[in-house]
Amino acid sequence: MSTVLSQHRPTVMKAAGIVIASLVLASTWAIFFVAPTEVTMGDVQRIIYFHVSVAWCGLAGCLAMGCCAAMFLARRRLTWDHWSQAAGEVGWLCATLTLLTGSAWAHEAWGTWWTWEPRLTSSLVLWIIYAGIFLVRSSIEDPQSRARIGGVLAVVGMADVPLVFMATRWFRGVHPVSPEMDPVMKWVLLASVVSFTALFTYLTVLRRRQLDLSESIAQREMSAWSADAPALRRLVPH
Amino acid sequence: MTSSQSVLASRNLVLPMSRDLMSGPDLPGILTARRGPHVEARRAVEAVGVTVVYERVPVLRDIDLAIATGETVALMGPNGAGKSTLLKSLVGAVRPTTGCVRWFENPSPRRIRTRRRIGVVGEEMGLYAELTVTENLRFAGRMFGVSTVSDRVASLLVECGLKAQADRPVGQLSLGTRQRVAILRALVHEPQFLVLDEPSCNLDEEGRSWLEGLFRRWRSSGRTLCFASHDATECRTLADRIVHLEAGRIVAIEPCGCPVDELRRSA
Amino acid sequence: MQARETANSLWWLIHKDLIREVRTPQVWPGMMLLGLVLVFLLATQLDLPLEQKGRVAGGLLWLAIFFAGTIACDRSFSSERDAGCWLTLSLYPIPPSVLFLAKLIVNFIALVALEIVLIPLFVALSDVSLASRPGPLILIAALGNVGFAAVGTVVSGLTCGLRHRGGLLALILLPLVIPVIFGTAEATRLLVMGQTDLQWGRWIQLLAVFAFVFTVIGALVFEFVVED
Repeated sequence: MSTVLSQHRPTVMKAAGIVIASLVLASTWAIFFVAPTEVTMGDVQRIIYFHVSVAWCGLAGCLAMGCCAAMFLARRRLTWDHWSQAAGEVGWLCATLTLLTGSAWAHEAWGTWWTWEPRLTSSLVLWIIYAGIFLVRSSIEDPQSRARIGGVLAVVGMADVPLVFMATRWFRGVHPVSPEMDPVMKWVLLASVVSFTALFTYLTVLRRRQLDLSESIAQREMSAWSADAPALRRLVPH
Repeated sequence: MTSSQSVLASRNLVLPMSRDLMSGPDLPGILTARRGPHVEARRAVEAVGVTVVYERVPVLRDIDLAIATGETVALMGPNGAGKSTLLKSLVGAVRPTTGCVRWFENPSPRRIRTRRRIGVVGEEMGLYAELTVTENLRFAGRMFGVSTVSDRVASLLVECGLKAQADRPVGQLSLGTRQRVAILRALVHEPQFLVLDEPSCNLDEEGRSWLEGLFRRWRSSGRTLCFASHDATECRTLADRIVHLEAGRIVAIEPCGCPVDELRRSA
Repeated sequence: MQARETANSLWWLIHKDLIREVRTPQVWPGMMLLGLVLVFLLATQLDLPLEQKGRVAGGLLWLAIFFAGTIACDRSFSSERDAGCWLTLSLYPIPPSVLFLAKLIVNFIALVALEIVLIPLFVALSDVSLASRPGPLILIAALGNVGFAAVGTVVSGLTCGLRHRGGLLALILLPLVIPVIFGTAEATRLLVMGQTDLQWGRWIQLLAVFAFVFTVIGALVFEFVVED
């Protein structure tokens, strides 16, 4: 089964890409044409559907990064580190979009580009933690050392996220409240979250494959240079 | 064949056997034959298929090396051959990218019980410049759980002729004296296996003869020793085997030195 | 027997670091000086009415302490590498978690020493009433120090071998300890305003949870930190 899948991988990925792109387009259409207009904020409120979706993906990316990093530390297979890096990079992109969409919403809702609202503040902290981890990773040449150090930081970062969230909520004196939403709005929100999660997963898989391939190429180049095929071939991740 | 391999071949030295012969449940005949029939062939450490890749450059490539209990093995090779990395892999300071290292029939040199039986002197001496000689040695002894550490340190200093330097901060000592203190630090817990990276590099004539005497006493006590050196004379005099490394590979294994049972008779 | 050996190793590791620092001060002078400069600069900005001063003083004080504290964390392991002792330290037959705990305690002691100097100075310069209730303040400091030192020790161990480690430690460490900074700042603010009630208790709980969680995580991941 896995051989069949790997042989037809480009076709499977292309088909998945088309399906996911359709899902995202459909949910975007629903956001603009199906979800009712919110009474207080009007059409600007529709930013929330994107904001919540990318915020969830940013958080999921951080969790995935930490879990895959833990798997690398346990198993020492570089492919786990590639999963961790891929999830982290896509998650960081989502965290950036969270800040931008949140800022846009805050400007319309409260007349200011920034507010120390707990979710925005937590997203900013998460963004900075991600950025620090990538900065450290980029300063290490050796793939195994990079994976080990980045992995430990990812695990520590992942454990930190709930505490950051709690601290920022209490800092602003905000207690968890479920916002009242029209049932149609809830369904559109759910569809948006599902489609963006699928897009996040797809981009992570693509990025992971790219990292595996670039590592494979780098090792083959080294192998050709040092004329030492047998030992190094075993290092190429599959 | 590289130039060093052709030189070694011309001296009728044995090139390394294939992996099938070097590793396996029993030590191959080539190992026992060189060391004589009297020496027990139990394995102290075994590296199997060890490859270390750093920044995508293979520093060690497919190393298979077994060192028997009571054996003295020297590693020789040009700069960058991988001697220090091999020593670090053997003691568990560097994790092999592929392959494994087994100690005293246990799977990993990272086990605490295994580490108690190994003494290491690396490229850096591992001494704190602010602490005195005695304090450095006592600290090491305490880390290894030596029970009568003060007595042990005092006797080591007397044996080595460093009693006068005992209360001087290590940072004030000459390089040669520091090297001797570093070696004593590795001996404070009476290990069964000593690993040294170029131990004589900072030593003067007196220091070298002290080291030679130490190595001979070590061998005659039946304990195991592995050291890296550029000094061919030192290696041929003190080692049972010399492992020649080049570009991360074992290119030859040279039998030499005095059989251990002769040393025991003369001790 | 094993617990006794572990306690013994822990004690001698801490003893060694403290003796080194006493004989050749490398960490504490720089840390104290930075702390003094920060406290002086921040206290000059507190020329405010008493109530407003009380709201921000706690945050400024703890920012100064933790900024200066990054120096202590930074030198935890870089001093071992600079001394050429990293390899031998990692090869001693002690669990990595014991090494982590030893360094954590040394960093904790450094932070305590810093606070003993900075807090009275800050109170004198800013005229904020922190000293009236020392017990709760000591509790805030103790929990905050443990949490900060736990994360700082792990990050220091990871970054000490990096080529361009420069400001990387502070860049990574400070976002990770935001719950500690918030917790100590808010708990101190409530203490200054005399509101040591449920809300204050909640911040103390957060600090305690952070300290516990990251001490445990640090002890668990430290074997990956000491690898080379």
